[in-house]
Amino acid sequence: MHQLVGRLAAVDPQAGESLKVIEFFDTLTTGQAGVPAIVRAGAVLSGATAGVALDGRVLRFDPEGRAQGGPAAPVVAAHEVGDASGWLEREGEPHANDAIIVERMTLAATTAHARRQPATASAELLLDEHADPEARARAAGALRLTGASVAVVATLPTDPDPGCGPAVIVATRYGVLRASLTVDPPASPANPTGVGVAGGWETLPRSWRSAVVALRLSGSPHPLFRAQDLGVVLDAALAADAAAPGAPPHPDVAALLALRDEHARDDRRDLLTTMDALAEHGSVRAAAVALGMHHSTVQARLPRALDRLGYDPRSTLGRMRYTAARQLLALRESRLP
Amino acid sequence: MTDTTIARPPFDPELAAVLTALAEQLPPTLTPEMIPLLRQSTVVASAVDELVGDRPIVHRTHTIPGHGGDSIEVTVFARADHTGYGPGIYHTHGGGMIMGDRCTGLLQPLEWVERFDAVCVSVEYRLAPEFPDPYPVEDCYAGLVWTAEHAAELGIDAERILIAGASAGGGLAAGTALLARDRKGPALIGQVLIYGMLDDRDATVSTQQIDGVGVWDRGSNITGWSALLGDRRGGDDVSIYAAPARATDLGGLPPAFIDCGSAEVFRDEDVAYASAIWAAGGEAELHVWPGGFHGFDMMAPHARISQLMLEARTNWVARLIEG
Repeated sequence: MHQLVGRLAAVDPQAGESLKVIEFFDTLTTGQAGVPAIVRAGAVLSGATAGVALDGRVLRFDPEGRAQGGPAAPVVAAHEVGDASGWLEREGEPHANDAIIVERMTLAATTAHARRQPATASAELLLDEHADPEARARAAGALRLTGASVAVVATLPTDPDPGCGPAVIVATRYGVLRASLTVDPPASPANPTGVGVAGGWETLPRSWRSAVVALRLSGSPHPLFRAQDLGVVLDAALAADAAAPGAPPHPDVAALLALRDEHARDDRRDLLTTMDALAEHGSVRAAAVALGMHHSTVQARLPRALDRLGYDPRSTLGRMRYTAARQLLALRESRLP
Repeated sequence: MTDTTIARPPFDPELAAVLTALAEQLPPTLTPEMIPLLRQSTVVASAVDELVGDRPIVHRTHTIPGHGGDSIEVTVFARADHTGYGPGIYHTHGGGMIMGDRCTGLLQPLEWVERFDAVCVSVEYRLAPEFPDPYPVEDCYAGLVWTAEHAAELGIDAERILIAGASAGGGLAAGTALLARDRKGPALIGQVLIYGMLDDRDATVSTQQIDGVGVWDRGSNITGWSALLGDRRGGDDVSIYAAPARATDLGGLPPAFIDCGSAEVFRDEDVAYASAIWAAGGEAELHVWPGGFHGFDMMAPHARISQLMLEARTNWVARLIEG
């Protein structure tokens, strides 16, 4: 069996292979590997000596996984995440994958390091509704959250820590994300940030789920999105998230997808665009103006579109229904970098 | 393959990452049709040179009588400056009984050659299914007999020969040690059974746990044992030399070093073998490495747990040889 195995040499310098590097470090992070294991991974993947400096400590390993203390070869690639830095040492030119390797190694190392700080362990417990209730209560006390109104803030681990509270890296179905527990969420962050619903520490698991929803709806020009701004639609969004990955969407969302798949014969814009305008402006005439079309053209499309949709978005109730479904569709189709 | 797979111990995270990365190259279940492909490897001669590299080691290949007097080959490795008589390491390679050659798994034995000034004899036994039981283990025994008879010429102290092998090679080493006991020779001072393939009966918990996952899973094991034993696999007509786990009396054997991972098919039979040696009043050292899949030290030698596994073996051999 070992004869089949290629040595884990430096990966092929093609774009697709950088995904293997990312996957490699994600597997280590999900498996709760420690910092030494992560630095060894950087060394074996690159075939070079890898080093990381964090919290006043320096760790270096060669590609055979042996700890190194001696003099360093020239640094060919380096990366910084906050106060931590990582690098690769080799003679000669950097290899094609050195940059992605050192970036992911440094990131994973900071995550592994943070995880082993007591505050992070407490935060991890508080996000897990299935953990022992007494342990969770102790963790809340340790973080001084008893009686406080606290929320979870979701950010991308490749962006800097928002610095608003203890953070923990969580693997979700949308990728690996950072969860920060805070009593004072950021107000104008530079990077995509989802702020979950605030409440007592017992509600932190739900706050986290709402923060993940919010993060997926955040984007330029407003990197900050607050889950509470969804109002009652947040409940629908959380229910949709809780469904199994392949589960069919709500019929109203499916109807919007069907509209998007349909085009009028004489217009490359789909029916969803037409319906958006109708829902927003409330009348065929106003929608036509917004779309830059003749009102009779819009009128001609209406029966088919309304038939597909199943209700009229111009009524108060219909408009609420449409807007809610549209929000769920946006959420369903959101992608995190 | 089974309707219920029992939850297995988790893989060590460093090892899990390597397994994920190499998943495309390495299907967990090896089937008989894959055997020809699995055997495609470099010509042995060039593999030997590559294996030795720039170490101060010389090697020589001999043609010797195997089972039934048929010719087989062994390669002898020694330090270039070796003089007099040193300990002998008789090596039986791995490969599930169906693949591999005398260079397979030799990295650590060559380190022992260099460090302990030992002489290593690695045998190329004939493979199943073309050469079913008893060819593999009898070829191995024949090679051991040749080694002992020619010890002086090879620079080996005939009183200090140990046998070592990994996976199928571990099983063959155990089987050869049993033959040596029951045929009253040659004498062995120790047996290194590295994640050994000892049991054809497919009846342990660990075989059920490692099914469609990891390296050398239950299905692969059935492929290997069926190639070796044909219809006899799992039945009443299998000797203890082919499947050492079936031996009920493990008395009178040389001290054993046994290691394996906690998440591999061979875990339970390897642990049982150590227990049976102790039950017979013998000596054994057993290491079960948490989170290890089969052959993890070869696939991920950089990992901490791989380094610990390799060190533990070398430490035992050092104690055996140096006292």
